[in-house]
Amino acid sequence: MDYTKIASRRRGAGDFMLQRTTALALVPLTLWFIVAMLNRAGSPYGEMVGFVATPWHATLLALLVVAGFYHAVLGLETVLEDYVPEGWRRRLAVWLMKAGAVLLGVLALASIIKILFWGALA
Amino acid sequence: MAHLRLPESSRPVAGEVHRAPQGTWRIKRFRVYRFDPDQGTPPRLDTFEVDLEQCGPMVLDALFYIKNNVDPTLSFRRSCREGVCGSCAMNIDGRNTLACTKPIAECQGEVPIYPLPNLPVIKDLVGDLSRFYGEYASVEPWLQAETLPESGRERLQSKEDRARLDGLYECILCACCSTGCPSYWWNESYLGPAALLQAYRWISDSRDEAIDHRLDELHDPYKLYRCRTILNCAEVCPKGLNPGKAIAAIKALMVTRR
Repeated sequence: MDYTKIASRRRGAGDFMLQRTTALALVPLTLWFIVAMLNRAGSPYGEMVGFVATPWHATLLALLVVAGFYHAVLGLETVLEDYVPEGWRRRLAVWLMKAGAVLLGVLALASIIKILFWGALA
Repeated sequence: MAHLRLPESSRPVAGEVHRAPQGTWRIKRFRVYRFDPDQGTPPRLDTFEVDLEQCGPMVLDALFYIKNNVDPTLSFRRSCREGVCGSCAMNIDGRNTLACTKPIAECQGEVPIYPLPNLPVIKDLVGDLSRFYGEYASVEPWLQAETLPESGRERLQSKEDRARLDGLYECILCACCSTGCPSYWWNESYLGPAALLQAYRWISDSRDEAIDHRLDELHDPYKLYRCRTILNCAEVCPKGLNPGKAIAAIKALMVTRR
């Protein structure tokens, strides 16, 4: 490897900013979520569904899901890059992790949307 | 990628013990890493008993004592013996530092001395710094300017502009910081704290006109962003510099520049 000429991929600043932006967003969102859940601890099913079904709560919950999953993807990608040897194993692991995050994230958003517009279990 | 253990052939085994002559009463024991590429044997740890009455106050003095009086084959780099050249950087008592400015009196008990971590060892305490110097060259550590100064003479700098180089220009390229950084050990494409500190030294220079080019070249998930703010660099720098801060400043510039 010629260390005097390491090519620059011209990226990284975007992920750096998004990691910090999502981290900042997660501070109030997580606090709100914890307080909201503690206040409703032991509440019946219908009341919990009613909580999600208000526009404000649904919006905050959706933001929490998006910021949380995005932040997790950036962090887990770093962990995989640090601890899985370079090559197809790492690429596969990163791809699976991202696919899983998309699946779970979209599932969470779809659930919120469903409860917001159509209420609880059909 | 993380490597948590040395390869089998690099793990040191117990070596020879060189005792001080009878009647010596101020003895300090040094456990020194030895490796001879010509012997085809794994590295070993030799123990040397040094008579402090016959030896200067610094660890480098003890190495000289050993080389002059006990084992002339002991290899190590040194030049200025006063913390200016950075040649005698090694791992002493568990920390990367300069042997010439590390007092023996600061070391408790037996003093382990290893070459700088993660470098291919050439012989004994001499590591191969090719990667380190290559990375330094890659940040183009020279003044780059297209326009000529109005005076047609030297490029002048205000005192304030000059002051922005304080804490950056003092780096002596001893490699204590980079070879003390786990992220540098594990990521071959990470430039490491020393090269990034030097990059920021030129980015901060009011006379330099290649800032955009310099930032473009650093804009890379591995070259720059493998800094995890572990800050071993600032912890061990024998000149008291803070490469971690310089790296944070580069990251901030990456975001704020248009």
